[in-house]
Formats: sequence, C-alpha cells, structure tokens
Amino acid sequence: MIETMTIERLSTMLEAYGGDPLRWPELERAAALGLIGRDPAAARMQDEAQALDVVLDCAPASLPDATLAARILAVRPRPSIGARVRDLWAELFPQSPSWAPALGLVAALALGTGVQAAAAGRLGLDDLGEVAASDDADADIAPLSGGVTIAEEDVL
Amino acid sequence: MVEDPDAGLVEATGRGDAEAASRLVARHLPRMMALARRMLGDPAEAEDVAQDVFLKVWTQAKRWQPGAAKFETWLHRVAINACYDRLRKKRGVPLDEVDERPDSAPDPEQALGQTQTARAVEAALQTLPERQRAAITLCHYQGLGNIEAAAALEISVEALESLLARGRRALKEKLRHLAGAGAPAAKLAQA
Repeated sequence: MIETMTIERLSTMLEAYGGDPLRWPELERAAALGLIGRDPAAARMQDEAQALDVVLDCAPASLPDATLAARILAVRPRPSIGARVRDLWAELFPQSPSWAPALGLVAALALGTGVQAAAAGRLGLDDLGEVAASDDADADIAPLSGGVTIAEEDVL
Repeated sequence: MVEDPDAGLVEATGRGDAEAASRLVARHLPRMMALARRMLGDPAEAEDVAQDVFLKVWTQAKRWQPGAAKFETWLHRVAINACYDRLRKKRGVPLDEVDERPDSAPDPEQALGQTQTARAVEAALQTLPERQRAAITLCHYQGLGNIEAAAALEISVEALESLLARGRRALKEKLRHLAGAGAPAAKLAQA
C-alpha cells in the first residue's frame, strides 16, 4: 500500500487509467483518493479525466449471436471412451490406483476368452462356427454404434 | 499461487465435462466478443476471433496448470494475439513495424455527422495504433487491473501506462469534435 501521493503521480495515473478509482492501481488508490479529498486542483483533474471516460463508455458493445455459443461448443473434442472409463472409475473408487481400470479390462477380456473356449469345447467344432459368425455380426454392428475403439494410451 | 475463479471449470473442461465447458463459454464469450469488436471494429470478425479463442481453450484445457497465471488473463492474451494476427493479415505488415501507425478507419468527425456518439467513439478507437487500442480495451472496457493487462500484453506496467496515456490523449483530441453532441461531450470540450 502506497501512503503518499504526489500531484505528478496522480496526473500520470489519471492520464493512463482515467477518472474512475476502480481502474487505478489498487496499491495507490487510497492515497490518490486522499489527495483528491484534500486538494481542489487534484479533484478538478479527476473531473477532467472522468469526462473522457463518459464519452468512451458510449462505444457500442457486441453481444454474441444467440447461436455462437452452440457453434463453439459443437467443435469441442469429445473425451475418448477410455478417458470416460477412467473418470467413472475415479469417481466410484477414488482411492484405487490409476491402472486399476486397465487391469479390470484385461481381466474381463481374459474371462471372456476363457468362457468362449469352454463353450467351444462343450459345443464341438460345428457349433463353434456359429459362435464365430455371431462375432462377425457384432463387428458389423460396431461402426454403426459409433465405432468406438480404445487406444493404448486410453487404457494405460 | 494466483487465486483463479476459473480453475475448477478449466480443469473439468479438460476432462471432457460438457457442463463445465458450457459454463466457461457462458462466462467468457460476451467479454471475448466485446474485446474483439473493439479491437477490430467488426462484429463478424469479432465472432471469428471468439471462435478461435475457444478452439484454443478446447485444445489447451487438458494441459492447463493452475497457479502460474489466471485463466482470464491467458484468455485475454490469446484474444489480443488473435486480433493482432487479423490486423496484420489485413495489412500484410508485421505488427512491430506498424505499431505507431494509425488505422485507416473512418474519420470520427465524419462518423458523427452520419450517426451518433457511439459510432464516433468506435471510429476514434479504430484510428489508434493497435497496441494503444489493446491497452485501452483491456483496462477501460474489459476492466482488467494494470498487472493483468500488462501480463496479457506481455509488457511491463510502465509500458502499459505509457500506451494508455498516449491512447487516451489521442482519443481526447479526436473526440473534441463531439462538442455539442451531448452533456459529456460538452464537458470533454471544456477539459
């Protein structure tokens, strides 16, 4: 906080920032107001600066078009599925380590492979062809549902 | 550590939170539009700048490090630089070489004859050299403190004060022609 203000410094401040104390440097504001309160010449200088402020305030402002915000938000990149899994995991299990979702995914894949292998063993080779066909069908459907793939960096 | 009211929103936006992104746009878009309009004098170009600014926000939010500078100061710096780029492209001359050269905007006195005080003030602003206009836009219209404005312009506070003083002196001179257009102008003419 500056405690003393000279008429020269006040003049410099008014020339730069105008007559509104809210625009003055915070540390010098109180001292400047003190000088203006004591010195009529300083008060006149502030009045002159405020006259220009009032004129400058007449400049038109542009309000954004109603659709602009929507257009801006539309180009925002969407988070990957991996990032969303991580965020959801962190929300549900805040104490768990960051690699836990990846471990869960690996475990789920291993479990799925094991189940498929067991089913193939029980059904025989002919039936396995049908299982494979149904996998292909899923592969055809995937792109229609967004074709989401999990990149390595998303899993880790 | 700088206290930043936007830190939480920026961080959430970086994580892909749509609600946070929407609130960030609602909070800052009108101010970015106002800044660009005053720098460029053209609402359509101001919209383009506002879009450029937020495009940068979307790409940078993930890497945002709170504490170094306020998000709003960074946002103003991005917007001012985007405006400088557009002004430079219009002229095809590096900014440093045209710093003190006024724009070829309409004469403020002529604008007053055509319309009203608001357009005359806007025209006068457009005649200022870019850096003076940027300083006045940030401090007078955007309400940034001197430290934030200097940071946004990447100059010292002393240099900011010099730009502001020269800009205001030029505006005062140009807007003397407003005498008779209203009470504030009459007072300005006496000053």
